[in-house]
Amino acid sequence: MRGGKIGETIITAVGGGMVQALKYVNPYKGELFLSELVQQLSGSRGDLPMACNFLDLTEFGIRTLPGLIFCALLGMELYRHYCTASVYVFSRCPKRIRWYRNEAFMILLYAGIFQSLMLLTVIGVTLLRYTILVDMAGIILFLFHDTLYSLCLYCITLSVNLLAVYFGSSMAYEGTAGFCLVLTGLLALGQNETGKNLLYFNPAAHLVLCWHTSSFAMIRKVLQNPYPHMNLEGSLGLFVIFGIVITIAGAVILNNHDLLVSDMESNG
Amino acid sequence: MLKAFRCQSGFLFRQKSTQLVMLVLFILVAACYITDVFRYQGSDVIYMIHPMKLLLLSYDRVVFDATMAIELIRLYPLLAAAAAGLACAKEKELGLDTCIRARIGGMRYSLTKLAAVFFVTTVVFLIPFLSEIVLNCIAFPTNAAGGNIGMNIYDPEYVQAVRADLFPGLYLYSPYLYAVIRTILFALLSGVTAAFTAALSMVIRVKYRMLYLIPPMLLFYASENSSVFHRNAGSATKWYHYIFLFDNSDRDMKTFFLVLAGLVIFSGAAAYRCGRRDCLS
Repeated sequence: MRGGKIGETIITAVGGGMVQALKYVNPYKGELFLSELVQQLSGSRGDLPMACNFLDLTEFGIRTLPGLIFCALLGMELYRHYCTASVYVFSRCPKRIRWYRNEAFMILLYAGIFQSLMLLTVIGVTLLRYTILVDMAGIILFLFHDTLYSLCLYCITLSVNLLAVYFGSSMAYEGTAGFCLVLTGLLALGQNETGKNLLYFNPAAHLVLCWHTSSFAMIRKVLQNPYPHMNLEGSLGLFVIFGIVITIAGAVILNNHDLLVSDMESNG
Repeated sequence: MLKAFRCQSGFLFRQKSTQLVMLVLFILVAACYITDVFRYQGSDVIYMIHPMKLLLLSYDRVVFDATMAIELIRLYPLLAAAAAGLACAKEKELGLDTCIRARIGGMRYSLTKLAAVFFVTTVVFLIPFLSEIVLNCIAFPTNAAGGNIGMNIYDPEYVQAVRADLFPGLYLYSPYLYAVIRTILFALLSGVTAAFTAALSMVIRVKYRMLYLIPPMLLFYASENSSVFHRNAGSATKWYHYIFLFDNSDRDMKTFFLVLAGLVIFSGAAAYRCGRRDCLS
């Protein structure tokens, strides 16, 4: 992957960011803090944290869709070398793990670019319409949001690529995107008391910033935090672990995968 | 033509992706049904909700249990497009379309393929939801008249609210018939989505099949966000307000049918163009 998908990535990020800014950022008094803005991008509505009801969860699902489109765009960047020209690629690049490390890093970089660009677009469009009051907590939350969502996108995109090696691109994407959408839907279990305990085990719940607390006192003040056991640093650690596990699993899979295996894309 | 259509449909029904989508829909329906059975076991009939309002497609459900409805809403764009919509792309990759075209002709191939994709997806989405209607009629008392918003379904105020729904006359005549007809319409919409995906794969060629899933997802995304452009119009623009039963949101049916007609016309035109084009080009 050498800049092949940068155009599509930018268009998706800017388009997604513009829609999010226009639809979800509408402060009542015409001005809002950066911390409030960042929380609105991950589910909260103004001063209210995201609830586990139909309206909030469908809106949260809609917000995640640009990310899924990004996964579709980047979901075959690594896999395409395997299904069409693997012998050619690897005869010229015998150190497969090093090649994989570079490709995985590029996916992480693209995920970071996509997420940062989307957030900056949201801020840019909001600045044209309203006043943003920049606060320190907002800047830290912005960085947390950017890192969390970038890592999440990286994990999903890399999973699509790795599953595609075995099942073909469409089946891998349908499976991975379907799984993510199911996890998003399962947040509705938080409607009752028993289900609330299950939220901690749902990775999608760790993407909702307003449900978290933090070790930083200034962030604690701005987060609504209905679930006291979820904290931002813990969620970040969780996605870092996910990322490391998927990257190592990918290295093992690709190192042992037969280059002359039949083309999964056309089942040929 | 009929024989080719039958052959293509049979082939699509045997595809793994079609069977997988049907399985997912059955799982959603079964989860919804089993949850309701446990929730209402031993309840008195006067506290029971009308069986048709317990359906997965019922908008009334989201008041007390939104889990399955949200799962359906989130998965629907993916399921509708993936059931049979990618069949044409797969045949192109395999070179199978060239063989079939050589035997039955290009135009016949593309038109029957489009019709088969539409038919198979419609059936795949119809069977689980019709089964749910039957199951609910068996498991829950059919004389239960409660609605989830605390009104009797024959309450004049409720009837007034129902008038905003699609086919209010039919609903007042028989909620069961209304549920069946709306389920059929829902399945037909799924068929149109799949046909649109298949039509796209007929005119635009990309290397990886999964990229064909993006346009239908974008279409549903646009519908969910179109309120941005006419915020004060007051009508619901999200697609699920048009397919869910017992939803009395104010809707813009004219735009909905125009979009639907646009998709149908595009699909037909794409199939016609594909039929006339040389398959080796």
